Amino acid sequence: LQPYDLEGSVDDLKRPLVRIETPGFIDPLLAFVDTGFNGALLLDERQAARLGFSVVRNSATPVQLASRRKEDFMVGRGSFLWLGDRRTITAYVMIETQGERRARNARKTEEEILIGTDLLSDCRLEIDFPARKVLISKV
Amino acid sequence: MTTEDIEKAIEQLPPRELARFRAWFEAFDADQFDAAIERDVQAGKLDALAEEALAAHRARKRGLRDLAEIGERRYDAIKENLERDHFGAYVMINTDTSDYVVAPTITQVHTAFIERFGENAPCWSTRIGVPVFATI
Repeated sequence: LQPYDLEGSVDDLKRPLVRIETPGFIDPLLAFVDTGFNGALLLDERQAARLGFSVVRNSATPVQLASRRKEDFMVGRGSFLWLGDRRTITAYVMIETQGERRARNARKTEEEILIGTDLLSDCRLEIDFPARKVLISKV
Repeated sequence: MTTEDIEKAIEQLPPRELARFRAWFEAFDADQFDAAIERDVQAGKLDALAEEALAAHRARKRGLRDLAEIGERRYDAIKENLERDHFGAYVMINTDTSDYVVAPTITQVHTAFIERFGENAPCWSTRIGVPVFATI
């Protein structure tokens, strides 16, 4: 393992995930690795604020969700610490009411975000499904 | 035990214990807040505020949809050329002027957009020819 390699696991739903320690959050963020998502990060508005991302008020961008529903997101820009490098990233930011957020997170105990191929473009991603292990390393 | 005793005890906590305490207190405080809100909800004290917040949220969503509709219209007008020349890249359109920038990633297209139009220009973006998918 190299100093900034990120180890993770595969959950019961066969989703690869890593935990990312970042300022703004006491506990690590649970980041699901979505290789079908070609953005860098997908967050909700509250997470974006806690990460110090500024959400662009007059922005809109469509995202096709797993339910096949198309949803309008906003974009937010900020600095994100990734594998030891601080980089400026444009994230997709979900807009919802507090009630919607609570309903979405009702059974979750950790803050969840999505990381996509834009963030992984200079990394090696290894997923060992039988061993339920994930490794993200710099190339 | 007085509040001062508790403050002194907290001051003496090592960093890791302090972090644990902070996490516990945040959860505790949130629960207390939720319970107070729940009582006020049951008493109907927050109906007007809730309606106001929902109305504000609906207006925001409507604004987002309006901006998206303008962006989609602008994109439809140029999409044939974009899909021929830049399939798979990202476009970000200034919805006021219809001018646009193209780049390989959302971060790069946003950077180019800010450089050209500033941070506050209204924008709509998409991946050219294929939707942006997310499994949520």
